[in-house]
Amino acid sequence: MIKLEHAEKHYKQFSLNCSLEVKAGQITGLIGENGAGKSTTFKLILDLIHADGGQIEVFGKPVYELTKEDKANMGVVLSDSGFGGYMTVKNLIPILSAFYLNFDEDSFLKGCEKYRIPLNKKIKDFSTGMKTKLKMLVAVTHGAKLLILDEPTAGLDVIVRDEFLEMLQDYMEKGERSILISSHISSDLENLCDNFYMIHDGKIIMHEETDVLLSEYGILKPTIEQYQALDKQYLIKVKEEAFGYRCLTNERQYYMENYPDMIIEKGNIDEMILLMVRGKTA
Amino acid sequence: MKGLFLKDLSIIKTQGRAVVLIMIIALFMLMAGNNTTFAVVYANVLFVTFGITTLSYDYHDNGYVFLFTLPISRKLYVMEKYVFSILSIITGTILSFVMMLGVSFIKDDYILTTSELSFVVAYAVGAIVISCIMLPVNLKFGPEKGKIAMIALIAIVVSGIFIMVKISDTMDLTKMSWIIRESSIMSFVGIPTGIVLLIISFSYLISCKIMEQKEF
Repeated sequence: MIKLEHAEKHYKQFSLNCSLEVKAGQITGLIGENGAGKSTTFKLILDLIHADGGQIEVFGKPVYELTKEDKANMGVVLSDSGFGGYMTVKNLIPILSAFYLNFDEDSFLKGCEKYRIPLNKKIKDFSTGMKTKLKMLVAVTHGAKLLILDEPTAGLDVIVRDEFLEMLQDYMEKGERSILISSHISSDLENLCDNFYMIHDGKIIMHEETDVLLSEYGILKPTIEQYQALDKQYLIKVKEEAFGYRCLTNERQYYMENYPDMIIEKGNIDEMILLMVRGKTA
Repeated sequence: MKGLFLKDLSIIKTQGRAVVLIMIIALFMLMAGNNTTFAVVYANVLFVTFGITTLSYDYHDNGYVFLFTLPISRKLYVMEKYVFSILSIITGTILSFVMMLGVSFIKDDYILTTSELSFVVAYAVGAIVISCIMLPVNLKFGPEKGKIAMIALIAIVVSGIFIMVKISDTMDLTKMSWIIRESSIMSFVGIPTGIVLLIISFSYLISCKIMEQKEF
């Protein structure tokens, strides 16, 4: 569905060189701290900025060759941009029908009712949660085969986040569809994504299937003495802390069997990002 | 283009009250019969700026970013802005005609002259040409910087006109009267129409180039 091969974009103080792939039927997460290059990657995929090098393909075509029909097969949610605040949802319906041949007005209206989105209120008066739910509804009600979601959960409370994830799950149930989603809070994505790309300073520093990440990766917390005696061949990153070390491994089982006295945790993706970014090679 | 058109119309709807108010004031001006041309200019002023107004709305709140994720191309966006601007001006012109005709029926002492009608047409043509300058400038610089660029542009145009007037003062223009004698009505209409079409095409191509290079 999406393929980036050494996609490059250079600014004065930031350079991106990114390769990633989103396969059909999969949900791929792009995670990284603020300023890591997530939005730049999305803008390249959406042809909003021009690449300085590399190849970017969506639906097997270079992004600059995408037709109106190809773009209609994409649903896009961006955290900081959407339909103008001067409009109401009621105004929006004929516009969406004109833009998208497959716009499903019935399911859009049902969605508005289900997620309590007012039809006659101006969008500028919507809460952040309402705006996100509206953008999401627009993205999933025109038969898009691919969703591109850039930081969609930013600023959402727990309930809206839950509703949002429910919308994504509903979307994936309806045939072979794909999602590329980014977030700097990856706990939202842990139960959702099939695989993750971790981006830092414009480069992909890790790509792993979620199952592998959660079953094989782990965080070791050895004391100084334990660390000195530790077999370091399966440590990916190490970070020195006040009372010892914190280490990221992709062989959790090995350490659990051989170092039963050591604190070894499954760890979550946020902790892994922290170690990948702040840690040093062992 | 229909989707973009409906979107722009929903922007213009927000200005509905202002349009009605201006039309009523212009109608009063016509009824009072003080200055027909001023009334026409006044009535049309909003219609002339509709295209640019929609551009400003698109620009604000990071709107372009989302807009170009929709199933439209940058060229289609530019094309719609030109069509929307020109149609707005034509709508304003038709409304001015209707108002003038209406007043001429109601008021016995108001006779619609050909010079007044030609002024309305000339005003519309002038408005289209101005839009052809404003659209690429606004697309390039955005609404805020675009205003500064427009002021600079107007200063250049006014200076140019001033210089041309100064030069023409030193020339004997009666020698040029053969142009009027020799010209047919067709060429009087055809040549300016051709020039305006040329200006629109040239401006459109520049705007397309600007949008193709733009990053959001």
